[in-house]
Amino acid sequence: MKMGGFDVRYTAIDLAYLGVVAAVSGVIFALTWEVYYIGELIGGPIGARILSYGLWFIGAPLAATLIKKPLSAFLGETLGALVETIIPTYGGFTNLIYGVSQGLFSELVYLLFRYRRFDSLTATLAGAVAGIPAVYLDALLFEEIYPLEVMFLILIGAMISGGIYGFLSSLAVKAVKH
Amino acid sequence: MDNTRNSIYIDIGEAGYTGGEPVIKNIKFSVKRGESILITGPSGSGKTTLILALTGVLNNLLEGYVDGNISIFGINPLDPQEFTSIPETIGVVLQDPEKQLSMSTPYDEVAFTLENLGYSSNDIDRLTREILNWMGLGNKMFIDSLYLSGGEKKRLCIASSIVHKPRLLILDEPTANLDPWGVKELLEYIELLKSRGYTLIIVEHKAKYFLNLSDRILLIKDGELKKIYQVKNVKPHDLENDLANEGVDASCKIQSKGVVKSGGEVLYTVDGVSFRYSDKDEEVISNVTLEIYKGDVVLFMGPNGSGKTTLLKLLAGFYKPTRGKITLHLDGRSISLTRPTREVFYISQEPDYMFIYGSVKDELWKSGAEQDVIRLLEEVPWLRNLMDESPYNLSHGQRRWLAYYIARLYNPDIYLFDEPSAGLDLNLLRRFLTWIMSIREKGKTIIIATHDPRLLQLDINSIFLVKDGRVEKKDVKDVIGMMNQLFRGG
Amino acid sequence: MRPSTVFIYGLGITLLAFLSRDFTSLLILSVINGSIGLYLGLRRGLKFFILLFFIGLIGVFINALLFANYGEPIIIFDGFVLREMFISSFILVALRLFSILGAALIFTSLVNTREFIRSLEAELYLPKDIAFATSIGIRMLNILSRDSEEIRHIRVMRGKSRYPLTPSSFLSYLRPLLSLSIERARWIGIAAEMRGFGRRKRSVRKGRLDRLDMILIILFLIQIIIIVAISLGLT
Repeated sequence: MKMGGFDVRYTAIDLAYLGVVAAVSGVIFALTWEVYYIGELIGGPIGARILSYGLWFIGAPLAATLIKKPLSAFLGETLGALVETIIPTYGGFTNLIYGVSQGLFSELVYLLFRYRRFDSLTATLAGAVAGIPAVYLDALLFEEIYPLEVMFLILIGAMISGGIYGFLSSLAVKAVKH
Repeated sequence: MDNTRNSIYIDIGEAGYTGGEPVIKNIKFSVKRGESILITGPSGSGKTTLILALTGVLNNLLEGYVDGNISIFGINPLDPQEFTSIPETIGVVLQDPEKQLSMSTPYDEVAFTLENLGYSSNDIDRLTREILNWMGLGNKMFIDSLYLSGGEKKRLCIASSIVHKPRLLILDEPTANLDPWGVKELLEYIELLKSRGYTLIIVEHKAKYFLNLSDRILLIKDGELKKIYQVKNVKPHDLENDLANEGVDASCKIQSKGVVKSGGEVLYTVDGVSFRYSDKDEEVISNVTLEIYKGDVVLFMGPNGSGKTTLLKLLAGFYKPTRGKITLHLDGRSISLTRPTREVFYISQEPDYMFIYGSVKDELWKSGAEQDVIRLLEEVPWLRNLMDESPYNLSHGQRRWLAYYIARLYNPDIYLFDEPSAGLDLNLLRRFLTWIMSIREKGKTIIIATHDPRLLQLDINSIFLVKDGRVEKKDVKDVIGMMNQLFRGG
Repeated sequence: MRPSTVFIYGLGITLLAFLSRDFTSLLILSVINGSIGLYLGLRRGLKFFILLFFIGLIGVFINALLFANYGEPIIIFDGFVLREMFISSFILVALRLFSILGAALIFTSLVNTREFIRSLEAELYLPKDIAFATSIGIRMLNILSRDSEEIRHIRVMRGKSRYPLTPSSFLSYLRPLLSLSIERARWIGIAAEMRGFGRRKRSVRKGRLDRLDMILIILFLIQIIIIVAISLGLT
């Protein structure tokens, strides 16, 4: 694949990494579902989302820190979403819509750094900004229910949660990639 | 060089993953069409790196380097352009099917190779079906590869690597992960391939299985080619001894010290135990009744998939039996384990599962008493240099040992080992066996699930044969007899 | 039947559900897709999945109660007052979610994973790379759930929590999963390249366009036309 000035070929190894990130994201998310449902019963979609928001965004920072090539953040998040759509998970195609949007925003972070930094800083930011499209889409999905002030608080919560998990993802990759 | 198209020439001065850090050096040999070459040597001698180098993967894909000349039937794999022709010419079967299979079903897996190489739809279908039938997977073409046994997955890997009728077939540690029965079956298939005229390069540290099969044997040690043996010119006995002296598993004879009587009290009472993972699954363990005594070394031997790992996990309290009861008699109490506990320490075949911290330092200091850790660090100096490393960044051997040391720091009463000898060459195996006996001397109970006959060298107190979920107490002599029968004349 | 048709249908319906704001549009979407989805889904044994949806709906109910309960009182009983905004917002969101559920059920019931991944390359014209990565992802899922089960047992054995509820236990779970996966991915990638993946051109085995495809396409067109008409009519 060519991308602007970069000639970045994704080898089968890079693609396998993407696949594996998609699967890991899926498994991590499935592991926290119990938390999601309990959170949802108690605090509704808001409660559940604040607890688990950041986990939904880890596809991008994981893939980017691992592969370190343009489009890796976007693909990591999108493929993870595609896998979740297929399994299927609760949410069906919404996963894909969210995933593509989140992936785009995360990718922007790496683009802004001119694809020179694939470290903890960019991972944290990538996780954080993914909160913006996620909350916006949530607003569309649940618009009638939540007033603007609440949505704003959710946005802050989502971005913090995303940043934290983005940061942790980069730490995990550093701990295991020889 | 008019023989170029019919031969393989390998002349590597140096090769490695990072510039200036060679992993293999001075390897020069040639292979004639139709020959079978065995490349053997102790673990870590660079055999896998050699495969990556001679296929062109090391320099073209992994950003490594190869200083030298390679010609595979006239194609130079080191050249980026010619590298693209390599897939047509060679087939490679890697060590672990889980690290090679990428598609959902056997059909898709085999078709993948042909699709990549641009075959037509009709040819793809025909050739795929042909090869799957030939490898005995004809009736499993469209089931999910998940459900294949280890041996079937191996055969699937072979099928997908030969469907395009490559001129050279490379097998990397083909007997890895296979139990003795699986190895026997594999050898039959390899003989068949040889008779069909395939040129074979087999890389394997367990040379013993391939001594008869090979035309020539290359010994690689510390990254260099040390010796080449022309098999027909060497007496089998001499060959075996010579290789054994170099640290290579060359002898098929299974030795054992026989069974030592149990002296201790009853530790485990297993009564009519059966287990299935869920209602939809079949029983993995059926109606098992046995006793295990304190301070014993107990072996559960059996083929892969026989249920021995599940049995270990039941003993560890990871699962509860679906029928029957397992009672643990420890410290004067008799209990049924309902959850895992540190007193019964299960050590997985894969060390990565065992770690929970981000540094070796934490893994050690947070697992045991201070004085035990201090003593350990004195005993094992190489650990001291790795304290700040992440456990996952250690070499495979180091991770293995780290897992064992962590287990020891927890000071459990019972150690449960799942296939602890997988991938260990002669020297490493000896070290492991010595270590086991040192733990046993402290009065610990050691229970091992394995298919590896080499573990029969331990001072065993009880041995059980596990097959299709059923467990039978056996005499060591019977088990040895059975194993030797499998490889008659080895 | 082409998996890509069902995929585009499901995605399209979900998008429509997101974008529709009025009662009629959402009603049409949820009735059509919800009923077809439930029928197909129950036939396929996706009971659990459907149950989860209704549990989720309870959470939505509670949230609507907390945040949107204002306006004219509509239902009064035992001290509880349910006002018009609550009712209208809950109904709209519920309908939207139900349409989305329907789309998901239709897709899951009609499409086989393996065929779908093929169709990514052959019918949706996505690069071979995407289909390959997705295939690896699906394959790894099962292996990884096995991994995570083993990790959970070892954690409890060593005295840690069973589930990753805190950031540090999240990391503690993620590391081994990643370590094992990366190792596998590396070799799978090497094997794929050795098998000629680099030279692969698009695989051309498309499914046939048959009656079922036509039904879905027409159904989709009907819904989109009605909804567009409504939104134009409302202005």
